[in-house]
Amino acid sequence: MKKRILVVDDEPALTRMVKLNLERTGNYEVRTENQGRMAVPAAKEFKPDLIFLDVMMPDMGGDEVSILLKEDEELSKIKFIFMTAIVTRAETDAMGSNIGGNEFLAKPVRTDELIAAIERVLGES
Amino acid sequence: MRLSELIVTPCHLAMMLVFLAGQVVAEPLATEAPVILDAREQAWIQAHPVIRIAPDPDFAPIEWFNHSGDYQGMTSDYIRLLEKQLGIRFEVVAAPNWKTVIGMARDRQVDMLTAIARTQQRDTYLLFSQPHISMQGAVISNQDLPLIHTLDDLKGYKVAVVEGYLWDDILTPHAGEIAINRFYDLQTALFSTSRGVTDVAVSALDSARFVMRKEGLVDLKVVTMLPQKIELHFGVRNDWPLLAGILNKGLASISPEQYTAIREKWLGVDAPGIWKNPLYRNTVLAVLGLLLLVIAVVTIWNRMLNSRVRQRTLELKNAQSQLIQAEKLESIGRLAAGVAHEVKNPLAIIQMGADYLSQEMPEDETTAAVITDIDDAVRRADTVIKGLLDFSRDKELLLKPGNINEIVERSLHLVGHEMRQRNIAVKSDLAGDLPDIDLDANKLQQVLINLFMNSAHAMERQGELIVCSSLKMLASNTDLTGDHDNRFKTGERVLWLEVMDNGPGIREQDRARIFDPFYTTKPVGEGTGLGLSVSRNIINLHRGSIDIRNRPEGGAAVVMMFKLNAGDNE
Repeated sequence: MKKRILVVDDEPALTRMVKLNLERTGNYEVRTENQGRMAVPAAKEFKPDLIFLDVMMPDMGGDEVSILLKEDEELSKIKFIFMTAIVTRAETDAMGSNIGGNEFLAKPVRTDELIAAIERVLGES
Repeated sequence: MRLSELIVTPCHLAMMLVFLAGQVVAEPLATEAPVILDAREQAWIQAHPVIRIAPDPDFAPIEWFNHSGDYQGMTSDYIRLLEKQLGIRFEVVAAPNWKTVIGMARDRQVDMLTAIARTQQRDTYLLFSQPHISMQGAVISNQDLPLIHTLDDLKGYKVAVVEGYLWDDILTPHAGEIAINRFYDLQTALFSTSRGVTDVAVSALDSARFVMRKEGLVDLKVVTMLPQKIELHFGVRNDWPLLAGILNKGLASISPEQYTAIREKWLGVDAPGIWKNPLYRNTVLAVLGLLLLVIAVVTIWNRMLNSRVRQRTLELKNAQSQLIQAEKLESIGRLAAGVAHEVKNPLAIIQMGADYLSQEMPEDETTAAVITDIDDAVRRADTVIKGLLDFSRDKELLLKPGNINEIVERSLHLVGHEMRQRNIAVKSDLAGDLPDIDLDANKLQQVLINLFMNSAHAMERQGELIVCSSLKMLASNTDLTGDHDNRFKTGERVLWLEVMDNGPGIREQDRARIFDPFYTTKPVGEGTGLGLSVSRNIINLHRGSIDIRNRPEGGAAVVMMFKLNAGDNE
């Protein structure tokens, strides 16, 4: 059974690339959203195994989205991975303590790194 | 009364200034020495073995009596010469003042006066020899009075003269316009001008000068020379015409050299020195001393101010460069954050696009090469962005006690593959007894890798990378050249870390700027110009210093110093 991945990033081209690269492996079914506020409704509808969240989005940041997800009983079990354009150690430390756990990936990320991260996060459960 | 006829010289005033200025001119008569007196004259002298003379007791430098009562001045020398030349014996009669002198001559209590101007009135009881002294008149004051050139210009001024002297007689007709103040001697007259009681004094220049020197009247100066001059003669009782002739012969026998010698003796440079006047001398010494003291104080003060200014300027420059640096960091930080976000997304798209294409395109060599090029380009761009972020974000460290040697070894291990590929030999000489210091291992590793890679790039292919660590006592200021924040001092023990290569070294013009952000000596695309800036920031955050130098044997050496923990610096 294919794993369902939701990708939320304000860059349509990037979400398209992620979708193309993941789906061509035959192991994943990918849905993309380009607005932060669409993450929760999309998750309720698509019921993903894992969500990629861009941290910096104009309408709603990935950190806010992650909080909404955790607060929602139905969605709180879904794993997510942050993707960010700016990752320094201070930043990840701060976000880790504020948002709790989960993986960070720094853009630009290669497809094999992306898949490795998915397997790592989903493998834990 | 001393009165003389007024001789207005026909010469132009300027001519006189040039030729006669200030001089008593002893006028040699036609020289016909040796004196040959005729029989009548010699007989007369034998009949009159002693001639009584009465010099003016107060007419220096022409004639006067000093404190011991000795006959002084130019005429005294004339008289002595004449005694020798003529075989006459003169007997000096000391009169208390000029008025008495004149009275004695009139009453024939004396036979001869030695320096007297000729007047019609005096012609009634005296016969005159040829003139032997000529003196120019002068106006003297303690003020600058540039408009006074002649006696006519004295209108409206208070003028000091000696009563009965020639100048009194000249000015008296103008008494309505000129306030004439008469004094009994020249000294008093000049004092009155010096003290401001009178505006000017009019006198024979040489007499005035003599008194001014003697009395130390340094404030007085000659305002102008006058066209009038006074001529002095010997005057003999008018019933002795033979004596007048004899005296003329005597004067003629005095050689020009003798006249000059006499003139210089009484009027020359060494004339009674103003320096001998204690008031003048002490005043001058006091003023000089004070001046020297003031100069010394001002000089010392200046030096102190100068050095303080230099120090302050240096401090200001340092503060300014720190401000500029901070401002640079600030703007780079803002730029970096913005750029990172805007550039990293497109990079991610390119990266994943390349990933996709690499899977979908037919597998041939060219396609593979293109994909690799894209991957490399993305990684390079990402490195630049990371450098910017590092540079702007490195404001805090996670400090833990650690051994710097371990970090060196780990960093060398990480670049080992790169060095082998480049054929670079790696040597390390790490002191075994290094104490732990507070450090951020990851950050120092970043610095070291950066330095190692810089060296590798500098050496191109082949070469030797040497890393040394030691405890070192800072011996001289050359050890401190990289310590811009003055954290270290000579005599201090520090942890010393040196990274050396045998590449081309660093050019002097690069040395000053090598740590500046974006300054790079590498070709375009190979360096961000941020590596050393970031490294320095990190070392600074460790309260250390970093400096780059050229090795005497060739190549560059990066020298880093770190503070020891308090307990270790014994």
